[in-house]
Amino acid sequence: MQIAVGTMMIIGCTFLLLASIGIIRMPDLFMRMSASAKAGTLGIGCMLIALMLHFRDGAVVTKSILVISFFFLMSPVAAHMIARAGYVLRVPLWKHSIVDEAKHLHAPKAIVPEWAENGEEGTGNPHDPDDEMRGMMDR
Amino acid sequence: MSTVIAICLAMLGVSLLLAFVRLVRGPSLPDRVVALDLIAVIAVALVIVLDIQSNVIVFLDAGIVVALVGFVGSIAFARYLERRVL
Repeated sequence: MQIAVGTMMIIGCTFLLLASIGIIRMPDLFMRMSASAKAGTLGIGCMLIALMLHFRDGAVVTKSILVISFFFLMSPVAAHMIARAGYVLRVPLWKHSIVDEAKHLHAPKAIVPEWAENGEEGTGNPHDPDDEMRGMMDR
Repeated sequence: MSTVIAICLAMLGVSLLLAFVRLVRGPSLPDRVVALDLIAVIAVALVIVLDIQSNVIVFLDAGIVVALVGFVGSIAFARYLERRVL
């Protein structure tokens, strides 16, 4: 049983280390948040499973399941709220990212002239003037 | 078992240091909020490792409190960033 506890602890710590490596190596706010939220949740879940296996007590198992369900519910909520706040604040995307599906909600209207509105739908051009604009606009 | 605990503490310390580096030099404010969120998660993991090392259960309550305060704090930060009022 000690071997199982040690294995789960090592797995959980590895996932947390991967989360922090992702948060320092990823090029973009949204990729950083993706790495942090998913790997962090999985790592803390493995640590709590190790805690349950180590104690094997009713109160500890109940509290651990409570904390696991809390993390699985609240971590996506927090990540979604921070991502929406960052997108509204126009935190610049990575310069090679192509898809930006909510661009029409926040792009300034004066960029696209009237006559060019029909022909330039979804080119996927990384040198789009909107993206350049978003990259230049620091907060 | 003590070797495993030492390895886990070393890995958690390194990850705490990396998250702190992102907290210091994050280019925008949401980056710092994400780093604070990850720091709260790593603090809960450190509490769990301490729990297993010392065979005392009551530290888990401190971990629950740290998790609650961390998530409420990050949600409040996101709300503040979006609306500029609390």
